[in-house]
Amino acid sequence: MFEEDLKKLDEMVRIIRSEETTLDGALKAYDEGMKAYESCRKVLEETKGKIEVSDGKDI
Amino acid sequence: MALRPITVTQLNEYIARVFESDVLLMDIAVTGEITNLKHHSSGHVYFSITDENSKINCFLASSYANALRYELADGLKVIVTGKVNVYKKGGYYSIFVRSLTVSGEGDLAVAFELMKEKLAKEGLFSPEHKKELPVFPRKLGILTSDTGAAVRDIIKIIRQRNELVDIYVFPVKVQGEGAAEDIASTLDRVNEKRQDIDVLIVGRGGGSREDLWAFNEEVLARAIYRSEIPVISAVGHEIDFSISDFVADRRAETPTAAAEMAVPDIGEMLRYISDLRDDLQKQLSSKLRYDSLRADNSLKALRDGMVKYLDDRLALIEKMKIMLEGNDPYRIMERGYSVIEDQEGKAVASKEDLKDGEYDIVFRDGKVRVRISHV
Repeated sequence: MFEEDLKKLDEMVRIIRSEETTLDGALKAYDEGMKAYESCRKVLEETKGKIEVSDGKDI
Repeated sequence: MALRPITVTQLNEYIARVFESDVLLMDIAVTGEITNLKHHSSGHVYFSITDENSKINCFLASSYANALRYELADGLKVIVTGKVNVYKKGGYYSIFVRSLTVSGEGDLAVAFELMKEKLAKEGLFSPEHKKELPVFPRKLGILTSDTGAAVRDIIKIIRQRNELVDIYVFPVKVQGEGAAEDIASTLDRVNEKRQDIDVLIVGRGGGSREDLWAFNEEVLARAIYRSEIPVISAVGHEIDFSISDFVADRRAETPTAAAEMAVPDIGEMLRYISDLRDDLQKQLSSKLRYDSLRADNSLKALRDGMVKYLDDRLALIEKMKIMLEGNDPYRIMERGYSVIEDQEGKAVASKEDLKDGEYDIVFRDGKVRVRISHV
């Protein structure tokens, strides 16, 4: 889900920024962050929405 | 000749028949100001309407009262339509009201305030009840007229910002009699059949207060309140406030503002996530550099430590060497002294220790074997 990936990306940046994060913690955060970024980008760039007008009473 | 008397009943019935045969009286519209308004427990509403010099009673049956588009109050200027009915028993006539509209701009304002007060008291506007709009809707519904400019504007603004969301238009009447009911029932049906839709925009473009009145009606207000799907109300222009604005989860000043509020701008989101990606890369490389720096430092510290350690050791050895040399017994021979050693290599310190026998005399440049006799 897009929202979850977005949240994950934010979280990974928070982790990688924090002083306590060790080097391998940073590496792990980087990998997961990039994966989350990729899936967000794919959703934003690929899906196309449609437009439908329901005629009158059938919904 | 004297008139033949008839009974009261016969008279009233005659009058009633006269009224009923008069086309005008059977379908009439009358304007006046409401006085002594009474809501009967049965749901029927009794009031009179007056002008400067006369008054007539009105009767609004409960069935019509429920469909009332306005909250009534004494002093409200209204137009009632209906038929003039003779109440035979009581010998008086009144208007059986079929529909009622509030006419004056001022009166509409009064009716608006009355409705707002009534629904506010019931808690229909309470903030706790309002739902959050989805941050990233996949499906958006629009309830508005499919012929007006509003729906075109909304779709245009949405598509400018967001190519991704599916848009579903549900055409409704947005003005006049029955509009509020139409919107309300559509809203209920969308909630029932299309729970996959994430957010709804309900509204219309600009118009007079009367044009927008459907959005002040109770039936629509309650439908919006019932809606499980978050509703953005977008009625008229900035200055137009409607009851549905107060009930909805969010109010947009105009239909286009609603479009901007409803969907995220994909371009902005792309920039946002790529900033985060850059941040990831920047942070990682700075951490790597920092860590490698730290590694270098610790390496350097280690090396320095080693070097220092060795230097200390060398210095120590040097010092010991000097000390040894300082105390080197043979060092004195440099200045011409020599040492006599016995056969075990022990130095003979006193002449008392000297006996006949073989000894070595050690010079700075070597040893000589000698024999000593006659001590």
